[in-house]
Amino acid sequence: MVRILILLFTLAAPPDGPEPGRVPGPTDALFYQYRLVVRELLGRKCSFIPSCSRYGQRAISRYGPVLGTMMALERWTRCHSSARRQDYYVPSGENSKLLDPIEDYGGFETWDSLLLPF
Amino acid sequence: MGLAALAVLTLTASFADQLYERGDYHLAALEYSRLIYTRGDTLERSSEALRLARCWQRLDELERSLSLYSYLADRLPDGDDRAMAALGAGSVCAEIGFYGRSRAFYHQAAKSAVTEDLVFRGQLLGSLALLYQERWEGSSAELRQVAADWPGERGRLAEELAGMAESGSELPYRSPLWCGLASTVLPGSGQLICGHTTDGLTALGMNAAAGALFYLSLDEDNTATSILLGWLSLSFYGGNIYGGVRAADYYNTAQRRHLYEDVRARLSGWEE
Repeated sequence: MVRILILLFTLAAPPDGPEPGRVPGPTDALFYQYRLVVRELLGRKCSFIPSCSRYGQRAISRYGPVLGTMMALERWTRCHSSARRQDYYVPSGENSKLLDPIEDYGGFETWDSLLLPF
Repeated sequence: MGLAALAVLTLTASFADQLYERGDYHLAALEYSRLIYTRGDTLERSSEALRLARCWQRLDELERSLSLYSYLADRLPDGDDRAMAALGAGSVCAEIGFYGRSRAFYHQAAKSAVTEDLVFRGQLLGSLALLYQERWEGSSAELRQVAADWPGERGRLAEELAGMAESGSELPYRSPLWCGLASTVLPGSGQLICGHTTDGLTALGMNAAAGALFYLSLDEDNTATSILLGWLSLSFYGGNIYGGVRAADYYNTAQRRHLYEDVRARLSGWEE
């Protein structure tokens, strides 16, 4: 029965998976189910881009279930209403959401192209 | 007949330039590609090729742009076109994050340029590339050298930027290692040290709550719940340590970003 449930969840996973080129697994199906059902019921309130569920999905897919879960929970504790007032995040310009990818992100524009004479 | 054809070609070139000036980079890129294709070799149409690479750069097609800039910078003879291609390649490398390569391109631009303006731009950008790598003193020293070499407005700009670069070494800094250790000892303290008060208090509260529930489940000899809550507590605790490190990274990045924005603002207002 459990196997059938896992299989059904896996089949319900989005075809693109967590990142391009990666095959979706059971965890991805859980995140997908969350986005499909729970998030719609709760309303979309995440302050960040990528959203906490996508961040967690990518973290688990990239770093495994142990480290990935830690990273996902850490992001979840940072996702609160006052996050938008913090100046250490970079606004994305989309719905006043904040950029917070898994990778290190400088969040600054380079100046080099300003001095191109053509 | 020949003159008429030349007039048409001149008009089409100006049409591509008009598209570029209007900011329609997609169409301008198509038009420049067509011009290069129909009018001969890329190296013979270096000004169009430079504009094409710039269009791709503006359209965020950085790989294509860098490829064309690099080709021009390698193949063109020494002169201003080659210098401009090297400047373009350097700017794309900086956008990608290849700061060392970007600096090498700027040095190449300064060496191959004929006009003073391009030599200055190459030298200035080469010195500023060190800022991205947080080599504040090196950048400041090189900029002061540039300021000494160039009189007038150029020298003043370089001198002002040297001052900004020097201030980089005095930027407030939080050690990711120490913040991680602080969060290990007391959950949330690493975040608090970095001024991320709400994050720190949330981390402290979540760790305390998860730990307390785990303790209660152990106290009640509830094995299944203990395993689940133990795993959750450990995950929160590990996430809190990672959060301390990440808070320090965010703090340091934000400090640098303010400095970079000042440099960018100074350069955007600079016109000879």
